[in-house]
Amino acid sequence: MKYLVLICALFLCIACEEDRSVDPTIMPEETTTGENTFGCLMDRWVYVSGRWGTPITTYSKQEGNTYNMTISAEVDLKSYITFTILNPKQGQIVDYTDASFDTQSLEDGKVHITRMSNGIISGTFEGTRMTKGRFDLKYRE
Amino acid sequence: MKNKHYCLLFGLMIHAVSIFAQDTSIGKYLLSFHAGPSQYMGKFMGITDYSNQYREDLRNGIAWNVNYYYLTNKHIFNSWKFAPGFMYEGSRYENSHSDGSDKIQIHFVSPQLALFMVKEKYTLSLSTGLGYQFYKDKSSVYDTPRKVSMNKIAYNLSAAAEYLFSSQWGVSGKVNWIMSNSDSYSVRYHGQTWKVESPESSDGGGDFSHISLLIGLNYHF
Repeated sequence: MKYLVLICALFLCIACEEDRSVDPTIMPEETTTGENTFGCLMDRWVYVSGRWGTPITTYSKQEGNTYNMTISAEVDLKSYITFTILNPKQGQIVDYTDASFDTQSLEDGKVHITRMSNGIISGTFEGTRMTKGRFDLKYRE
Repeated sequence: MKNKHYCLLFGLMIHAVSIFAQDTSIGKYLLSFHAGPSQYMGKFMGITDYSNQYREDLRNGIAWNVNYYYLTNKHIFNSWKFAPGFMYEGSRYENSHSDGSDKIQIHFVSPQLALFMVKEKYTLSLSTGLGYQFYKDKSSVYDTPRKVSMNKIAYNLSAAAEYLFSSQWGVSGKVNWIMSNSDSYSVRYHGQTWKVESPESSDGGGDFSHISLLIGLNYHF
């Protein structure tokens, strides 16, 4: 019984893991060093990752030797901003699509890729509801 | 604008000096009002911009102070009178940048233990106290309101000198240093409140204080 309580307590601790050192109201700096940061304004309100885990990047090969990068960032407890960058290349402004915030679909927008090398993708993005966005993430090909 | 206020206060004090007679026997109670510039020292937490220049500009503020003391007949070290009392000090620090702003307001309340050296024309005093500090930062980020609070226990050390120009009134200068420590704050934004502990934006918690250089009037009764 004692071990069962301990296991349950441990499970609860893991399940509720939250990095309380992160202030979710302050936008991260625009960096290009793989800091695993993500932030944007959604309807003018600040949404930042980090407190509820680092953003997830998924790099996938498409037809015609092109690649897409999907970014999913938990910006509140069980609340995600997700979008897919089409064929990202360093120094270019490309489209993002399939954007969503929780269960809401968002319009497509533009991403300026400021770095894409050595497993780091950084950039700024701008859409209709989602503005002043920035990310600096690590990824695996 | 601040300079104008100081000039006005100084003018009022000079005017008061000419009004009152030269009686120097003072009463047992002291009520004082002071105001002046204040300097924030130590660590900032919960602000909207941590750049060096922004923090340096945010350190300059203003303070105002009210004291009440009861001067007992109990003497310490021959010429020092023991005086319990009470202090309130408020201070404000403001700055803004392209993406936001900070308006820090600090209110400190504390019982005081003071020593007064009372002479014919002047008094000197030292006081200290352990109290509570109410810290609020009514900030904004991208034109949306954000409120930070960091209420903590704090303590103060102060020294003052007063010139008595009547039995009841004196002008005084005062230095007050209020010190505190925190490793967390709470921030309210967009209908939610979060507690931020050992914030990474300020490399964790730490000591912070504010020192005020104040001038004002003392009333003895």
